[in-house]
Amino acid sequence: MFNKYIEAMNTIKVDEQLKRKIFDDINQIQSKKYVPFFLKIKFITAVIVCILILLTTLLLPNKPVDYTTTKFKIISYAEDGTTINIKPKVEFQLKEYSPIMSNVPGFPLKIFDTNADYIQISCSEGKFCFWSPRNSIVKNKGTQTIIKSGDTIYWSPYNTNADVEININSFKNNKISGSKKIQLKKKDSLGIYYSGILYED
Amino acid sequence: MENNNIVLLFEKYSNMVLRIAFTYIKNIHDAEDICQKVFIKIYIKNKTFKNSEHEKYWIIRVAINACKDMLRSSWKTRFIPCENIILPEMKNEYKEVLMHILSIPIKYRNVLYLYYIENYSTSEIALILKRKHSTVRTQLKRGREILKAELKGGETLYVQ
Repeated sequence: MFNKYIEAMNTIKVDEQLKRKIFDDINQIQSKKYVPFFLKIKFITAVIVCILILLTTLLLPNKPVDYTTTKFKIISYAEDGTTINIKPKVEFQLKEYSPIMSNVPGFPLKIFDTNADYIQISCSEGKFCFWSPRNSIVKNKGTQTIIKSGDTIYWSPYNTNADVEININSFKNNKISGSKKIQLKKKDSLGIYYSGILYED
Repeated sequence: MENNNIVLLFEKYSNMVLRIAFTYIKNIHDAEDICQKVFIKIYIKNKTFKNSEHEKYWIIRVAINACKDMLRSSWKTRFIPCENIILPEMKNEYKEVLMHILSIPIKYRNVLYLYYIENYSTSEIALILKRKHSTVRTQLKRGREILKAELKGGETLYVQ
């Protein structure tokens, strides 16, 4: 049985036609004019995939840019990365903030004014929110909100693509007892990189 | 790669590559296509080998992988019936034997091929097929048993 198998397999040989075909292909490769069929198929597949990706991108409806899911970075003016206290005590807790890289919902600002009854904070663009790392619930506070001394509030860029101004006013007996202004300025035309500047009032 | 080298490799291994491909694919025309692909790959890769054993192992692996790629290709799996055996021109008694061999599962078939046709030991087959030595020995034994059972079945059917 196995002897016949060996004999049968030994009759299977590459014929002259196949040999010529293979060496023709090899000669064409040598002259660099030939691309083997399987490589052609791979190349054509890659081109089709690229075209499909391009068409999908172009045909999709233009959505407003959501900067909460794009690379957005705020760089505070603290170059050395340390937290900085400014009057009336606004603490930048992060040197940099990026929605992609960070595990916080916005740029954290800790504001202190122990003499104030309350602190009003407003922004020209984006939104404020409260967030507790313990329960991970984000409470949206819009563009203006009231906070107490020592609260940490998060500013998130949302759909903004412009320079941002944050105004902080401390109130004592319903009168402004102190105010500060923070400007988040675009560093590039795309609005991906911002830097913070503090104006003393 | 030098022209002489590929000619030497072709003379040395072309029949083996064709037989391996035929053992896998069970179709002589597809086996010829695979043989063509394998030698183009060998030429393009221009690999240097430690020795002739390494050279042969590598070419067997390239051939087996080319066969697996063909069996995996969606066109093949969708449009070509798996059990479509196309034999080359040969004596009827050989065709009969090959039909029996080709009807057993591939895992036994390639072990039988390497053992009986290429004269590899079971430990060498284990290295080539990247299987355990004990697995190869079992598969060789099981392959023989299946084949014997198949032949007995055929004879009984013939007597009736």
